[in-house]
Amino acid sequence: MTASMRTGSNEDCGVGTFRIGDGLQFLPISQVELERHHNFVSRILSTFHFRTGGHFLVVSLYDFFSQFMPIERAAMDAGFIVCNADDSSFDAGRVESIIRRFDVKAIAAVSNNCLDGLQGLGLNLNQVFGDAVVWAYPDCFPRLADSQAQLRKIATLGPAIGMECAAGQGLHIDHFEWEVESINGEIHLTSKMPRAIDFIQFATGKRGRVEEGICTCGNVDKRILLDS
Amino acid sequence: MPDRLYYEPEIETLPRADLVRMQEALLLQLLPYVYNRAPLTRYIWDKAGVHPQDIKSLADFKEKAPFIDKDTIRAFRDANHDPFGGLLCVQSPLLKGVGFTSGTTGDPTPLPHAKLTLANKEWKRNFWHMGLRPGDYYTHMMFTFREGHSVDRMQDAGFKPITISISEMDVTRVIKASLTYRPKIFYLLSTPLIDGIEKHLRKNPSLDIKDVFSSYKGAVFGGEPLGPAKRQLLADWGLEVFEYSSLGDICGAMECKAHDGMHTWEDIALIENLDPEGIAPVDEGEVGELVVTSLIDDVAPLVRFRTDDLVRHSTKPCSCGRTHGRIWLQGRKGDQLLINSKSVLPVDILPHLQSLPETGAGLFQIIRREREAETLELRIGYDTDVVTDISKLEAFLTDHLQKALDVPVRMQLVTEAELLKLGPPHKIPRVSKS
Repeated sequence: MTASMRTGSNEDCGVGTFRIGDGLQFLPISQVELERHHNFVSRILSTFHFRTGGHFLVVSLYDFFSQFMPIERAAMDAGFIVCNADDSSFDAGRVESIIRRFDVKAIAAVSNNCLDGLQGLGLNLNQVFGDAVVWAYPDCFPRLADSQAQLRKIATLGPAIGMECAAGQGLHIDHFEWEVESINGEIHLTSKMPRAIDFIQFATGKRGRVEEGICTCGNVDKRILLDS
Repeated sequence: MPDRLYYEPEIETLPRADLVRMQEALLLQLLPYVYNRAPLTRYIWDKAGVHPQDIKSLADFKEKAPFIDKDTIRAFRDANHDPFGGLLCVQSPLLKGVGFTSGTTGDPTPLPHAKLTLANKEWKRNFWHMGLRPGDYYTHMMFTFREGHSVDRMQDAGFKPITISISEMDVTRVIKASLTYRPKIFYLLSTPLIDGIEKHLRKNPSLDIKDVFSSYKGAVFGGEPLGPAKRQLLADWGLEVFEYSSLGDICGAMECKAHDGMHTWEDIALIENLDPEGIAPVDEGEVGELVVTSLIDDVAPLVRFRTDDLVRHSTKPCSCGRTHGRIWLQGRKGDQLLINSKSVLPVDILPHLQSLPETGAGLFQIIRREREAETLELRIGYDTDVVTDISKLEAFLTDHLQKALDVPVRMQLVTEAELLKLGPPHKIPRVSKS
């Protein structure tokens, strides 16, 4: 644990993982944190006014439950039927199979691993997702330049996750959970609520600037514009 | 509060007569529901001239209810462009998610579920029996595609999962998690993961793996049968292993501390063991085909589903104190090969390969062009770290297996890495047509 992380007051309910640099770090997390994250994602999904039902495909690894389980639960609350695939080139066949066989309206989160696998299957990356809402990691965007999908960015920032809303004007960071600041161009996070692990000016390793003020979608979350 | 032996003692130790009454009650509730909602069930039952009103008891069900199998479901799926094969009884909002089988042999089979899955239910009973208690950590290695993320589904039991993807690459994370959090249960070990740990130990000979695993009260192994060599290896690492298998895609079946068969939760599924080529029940202890019926799944219940799994089955109470039946897996009916009329299943071959250092990973495929053949054809993976002379290994293995299995053997040797490319990270197809 670094100096910017310390054991918090909440009892953990499980141990997930977050990325930092090229490495992975275990992340004890409490039930109330998951609930708060769930509420945050619900707020983001509500900006799309999904009223169509259909399926929501979550592409992630089991390690990262603290980031992706709340997305699953928020999608279920929004009336979606959730399908899952592993975030690996190996499981890209499942992504393709789910899109082909089900009425997939939204997908989170598409990575270069997934795109590599889809490309390996001979699929056209600009067509494979149809016109679904697709949250993709920022480094995927050049490969999806001509995609028919409604692309939005998603990114993990240390223990947090940032997601673009329907307006697509930067990665929302949950204002209830995190104080976010850019220090010398690097995004830092400080937790605002009791957690299993507290974060104090935690350097995420991601570079970008922080956009303040009300988003076009009506949310007060600060938004991050990552450097390309 | 005094500790208790079982997570749900009221169900796990229910006397058999009460268990049967419970099954009958659940079944009689479910049948009209399924018949009215699941297109495949209605089609099959109408075709057989049977109506739920004709079923007044378990005995009626066993006498009259028609069967379905994977082929029936696939045919309905293809004819009706229905990915759920005519099994689905509900839509959103009760339908919350769709899990999938691994898809080792084709498009993954969808497994639709409500908020809770039946696996959530059985995991808690099994983990408690192994020694997990509220507040304890356990290592939960899983794919996301099977159940989705399920950590919040364990909160009522107070179990704390450490979630890790199933991948040989994650060996170092498993070791770190084990040393940091000292978890009590390891779920789920697979052959490739064990091989990954072995390779890690060869590269790190000073690592005390018994210390790494010293907090575990048990490790669950699944994906395929565990041979004696791997079981011994895990025992040498200090792990008590509990074998786990799918129960016809309804839920799972797992060994208890008695290690005498895998418990089938009979409040979740009705179990029958029938003549693989017919409909008559086989005697207890004899090999038959496992036939399952969902009792509490109101999303996509399977009714009299012939699983293709060959099992021995017993309803005799287990020494662990639970009253639910047990099965002993023998293999898959579709994998069975008759070599000059002698039955050969993957489970017959596995221990002979796992006992040798050159093929200790037990990676192999039976080439099954037809059900009957004169020679057993195998594709076997070898460890490139151990093998230097492939021709010598082929000659030795051919002789070794011919003597052990008493059938003519022909083989193709390939590297383990080549075979692992054929399947998902936790297993490979054991039978191939070519």
